[in-house]
Amino acid sequence: MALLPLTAGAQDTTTVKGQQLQEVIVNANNAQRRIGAVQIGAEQIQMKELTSAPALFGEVDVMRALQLLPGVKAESDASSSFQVRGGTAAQNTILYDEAPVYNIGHLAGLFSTFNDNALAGATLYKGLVPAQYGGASSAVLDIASRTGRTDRWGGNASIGLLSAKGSIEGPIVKDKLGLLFNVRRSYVDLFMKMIDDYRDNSLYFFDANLKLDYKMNNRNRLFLSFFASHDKTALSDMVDMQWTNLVGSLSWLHQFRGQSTSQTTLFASSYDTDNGINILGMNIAYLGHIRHAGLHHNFRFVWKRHELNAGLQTMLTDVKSAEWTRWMNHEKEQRKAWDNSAWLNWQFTPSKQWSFSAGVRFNAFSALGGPYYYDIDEKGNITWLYKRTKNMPVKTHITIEPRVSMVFQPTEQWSVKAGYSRTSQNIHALRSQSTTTPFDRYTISTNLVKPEVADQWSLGFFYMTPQQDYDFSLEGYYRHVDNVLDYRDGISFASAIEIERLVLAGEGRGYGAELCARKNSGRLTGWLSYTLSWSQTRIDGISQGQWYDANNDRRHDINIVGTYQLNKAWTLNATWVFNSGQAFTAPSAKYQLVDNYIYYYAERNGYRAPDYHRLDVSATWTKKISKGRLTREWSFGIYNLYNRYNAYLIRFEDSQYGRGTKATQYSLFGIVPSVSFNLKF
Amino acid sequence: MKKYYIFFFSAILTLFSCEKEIALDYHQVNPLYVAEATITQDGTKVQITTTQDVTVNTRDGHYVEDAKVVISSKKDYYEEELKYTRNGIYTGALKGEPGYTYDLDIYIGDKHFTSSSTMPEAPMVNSFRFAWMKMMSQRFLFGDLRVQDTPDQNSYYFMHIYRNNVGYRWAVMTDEKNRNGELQQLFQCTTEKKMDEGDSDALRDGDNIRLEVRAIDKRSYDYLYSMQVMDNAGTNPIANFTGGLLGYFSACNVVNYQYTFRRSEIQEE
Repeated sequence: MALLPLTAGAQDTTTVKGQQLQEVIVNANNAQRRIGAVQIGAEQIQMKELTSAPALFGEVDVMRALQLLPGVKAESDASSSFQVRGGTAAQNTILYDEAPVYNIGHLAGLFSTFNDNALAGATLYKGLVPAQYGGASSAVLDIASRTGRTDRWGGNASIGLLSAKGSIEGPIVKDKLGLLFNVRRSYVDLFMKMIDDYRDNSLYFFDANLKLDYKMNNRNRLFLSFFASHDKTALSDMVDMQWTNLVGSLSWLHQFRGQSTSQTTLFASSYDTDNGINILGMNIAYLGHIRHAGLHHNFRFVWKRHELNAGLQTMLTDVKSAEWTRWMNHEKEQRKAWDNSAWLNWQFTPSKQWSFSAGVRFNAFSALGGPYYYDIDEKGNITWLYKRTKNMPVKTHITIEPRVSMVFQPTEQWSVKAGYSRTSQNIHALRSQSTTTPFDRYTISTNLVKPEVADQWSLGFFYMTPQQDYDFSLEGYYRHVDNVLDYRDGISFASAIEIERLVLAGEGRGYGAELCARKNSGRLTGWLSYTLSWSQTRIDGISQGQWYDANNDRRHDINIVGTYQLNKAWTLNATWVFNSGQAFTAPSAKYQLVDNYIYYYAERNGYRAPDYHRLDVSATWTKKISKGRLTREWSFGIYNLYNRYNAYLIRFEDSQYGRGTKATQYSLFGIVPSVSFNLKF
Repeated sequence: MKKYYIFFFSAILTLFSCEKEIALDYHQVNPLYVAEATITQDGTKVQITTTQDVTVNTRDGHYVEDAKVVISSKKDYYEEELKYTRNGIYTGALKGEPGYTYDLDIYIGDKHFTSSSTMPEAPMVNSFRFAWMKMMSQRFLFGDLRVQDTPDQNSYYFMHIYRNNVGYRWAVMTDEKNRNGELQQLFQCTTEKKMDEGDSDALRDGDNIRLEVRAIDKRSYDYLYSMQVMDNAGTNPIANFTGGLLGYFSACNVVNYQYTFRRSEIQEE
C-alpha cells in the first residue's frame, strides 16, 4: 500500500529525502526496528531479502522468499501461497496497493504473480494486526508497489528459463510525474509451437504493473496503480483453463503540517476463472469470480508521543462461487455483499522503555438480496428457499475487533513484546486439498455461514548484539478461530452448486513458537528460523466431533538463508529448508464394493507425510559497464541441489488382482538448474 | 472439474515429476460390517463382509456367515429371509419391480441394520464405444457410453465395465445434465503406451467386456457418488444403512451388454 512508505517517510524526512521509496523500507527494516517496534508479529520485508533467495527456474519470486520467514510456511512445492501460524493460505488477505488480491499464482501456483521489479516492499502481519487492517482470520500481507524515478529515465530487461521481463521508469514531467511500467511473459509456448505434438496447445502467463506518481505540491500526492495477471493453459480445443487478476487503485495522500497524513484510496479488484472441457462431445464449462470495489480512507495524526490512526472503508463484494454448464444443464450461484469497516488505533510511547498500541475495528458485513438464499437441514438438504429484494441486506454480521500490543525495552539491546488481536473474515474458500488451486470455490458470510473470527495472543523476546551484527527473537502464540469450514463426509467440491450444503462449521486452534537468529553485517548475512507449531480443527459431524489435526498441520519447520558477498562482482546465496511431515488422510482399513477396494478413513489427517527438505544455491555476477550507466547481471542457480524427491501428493491404489494396497508418493521437482540474465539501465 | 484439472496438470508435470512407493505404518481399527445388497428384476443378493487391514490382501476370514437377512416389500406385505450360500453371500427369490420400495433388515449378533430402496424404470443404452483421444504426445483410451434418459422423472444411473468378469471401471451419474435427453459418461481406461507395454491394467485384444448399466434411486446414488469422490476428499461415503453398517442397498433395474475388445476397432477422435 502506498501509505506504508510515505508514512515511514513522514516519520523520518531526512531519511526519505531524495531517495526511492523502496530504500525507505530497507532503512526501516533493521535489527533496531525489530527490537523496538510495538507491533508484535509484524515483519517489514526488504525487497533485497525477498529477491536474494535462490529461485526455482531462475524466476525470482517474492512469495517463495516470504515462505522462508519464521512462522511462515509454504503450502507445497507447487504453491507460492503461504500459511501463517496454523492458518491456511485462504485465511490470509493480500493487499496490493490497498486492493485485495486472490490466487496469486502463475502456472497453477508454481510462481507468484508479483514481479519483483514492481514492488517496493511488503509488511506481513502474522495475525496481530493494527486496526487499520481487516478481512483475514490469519495474516495480512500488505504489498506496496514501487513508484518510478522522477529524475531520469531508466529500466531493465531480463530473461530466465521460463519468462522474460522488462521495465521502464522515468519522469513524464520531471520531478513531478513519474511512471513505472513492468511487464513479464512466459515464453515456453513459443517453443511448443515448434513441436508437432504440442503445436495446438497453450501454456503461458503474463503480468503487468503500472504505477503513476504525481507530486501535486509539497503536501499532496496522487498515485495510480494498476496490476494485471493472466494464465492460460489449453490442450488444443479439448481443455481450456484461464484465470485472471485485475487490480486498480487511485490514491491521494495529503501531508499536514508536522507528520500527520491522510490517505484516500479508490480501489477495485477482480479475480476470474474460466475453464472449459470438450472431450468426445462432453462439454463442461466452469466459471467463477471474486470482485471488489471500494473506498478506503485513513487519517494518521501524530502529536508528540501519540499516533492516532482513524478511518473507514466501504466495499462492494461480488462472489460467484460457481457457474457450471454441463451439457444442457446450467447452474449458477452468485452472491453480493456490502462490507463496511471503521477503525481507531492509538499508539502511545510514554517513555523510551514503553510503547503501547491499542485499537478497535468495527465491521458490518451484509449479504445482499437478489439471488436465492436457503435454509438446510442437518444433512445439507435444502428445506426452504427465499428471495429478498435486490441489493437489500439479507443478513448483516457485525464484529467488533479489539487489538492491543505493547513493547517493554529496558535497554536498546533487548525487549519484550505482547499482544492480542481479534480479526474476522467474510470471504471463505472451500478447497479439497491442503494447497491453493485456481479452482478453489469461494463464498461469503450469509444467513448460514458466519464470519470466521480469530483471537490471537502472542508474547515475544527480542535481543540484538551491541553493534547490531546479530539479533535474535523468540515468539510464542495461541490462536483460536470460530466458524472454520470443512467438507462434510462424502462430499466434494462439485457435489452441489450451493456451496453451503457442502460444508460444516466448527472451530480451529493453533499454537506454537518461532525462533529466529539473524546475522546482519559482514560478508555473510542471513538468518536461521525455526517454527514449532500445532494446528487443529473440531467440527461436530466430523471425526466424532473430536479435535483433529488440520491438513496444514506440521510440527517443525527450519529455514536457513545465507548470502555471501564474495567480492564486488559475485554474490552467493544458499537456502536450506526442512519441514517435518505434513498431516494427511490415509486409510485405516479397506473393504470391497462394486469389485473395488474401498478405503475406510478412521481419522482425518491422522498420518504424516515423509519429511521434506532441500538445498537451493545460486551465484550472481554483477558488473557495471558503460561508465556505470548499465549494469549486467548473470544469475546461476540450482534448485534442490541434492535432488531429493519430496512428497507433493500421496495416493493409495489397490488392485483387484491382489497386489495389495500401495501408497505412492508423487514429487514435482528433482534437481532444477537455471540461469537468467538481467540488464539494468 | 477438479478431477480433470488434476489429471491435466499432472500430465504437464510429468516432464519434471517422479513417483515412488512409500512405506506407511497404517493405524489399525476394529473390523466393521459391510454389506453390498441389490434387488434386481432377477432376484435378491446380499454379501456381508467385514473390513480388513489395509495390508491384508485376502478376503478369507472376512465373510459373515451367521447373519439374518430379511427383505420385505410394504406394498404387498411380502417378507423373505435370504438363504446363505457362500463367501458371505445371501440370496433370495424376490424379484424387484419398478416403482416398488423394498426394505432390507440385517441382524448380526445383537446388532440390527436397515436400509430401503425404490426400484426405477429400466435404463436404455444408446451406444457404447472405445475411442482414442490424443493429448500432447500421449493417446488416451476412453470408453464413451450414451444413455437415453428416462423421461419426466429424476433419474440416477450406475454404470460398471467388467473386464473378464472382474470390475474394471465404474461411475454414477444423474440426468441433471440433460434431462429427458441423451446422457454421456466417459471412462478413462488407459494409455496407448501402457497397452504397448502390456500393463496389467490395460485392455488387451480378446478381453471380454461386459457393460452393466443400472437405474438406481437417489439414496443409492448419493451413497455411490460419495464413494466415487471420497478419494479426493479423503472421507468416508455417507451412510446408507442405519446402525453404522458400511455399504449400500439398491433396488435397481439392470441391463447388460457383452463385447469382445479389439484394439483395431477403437475409434479415432
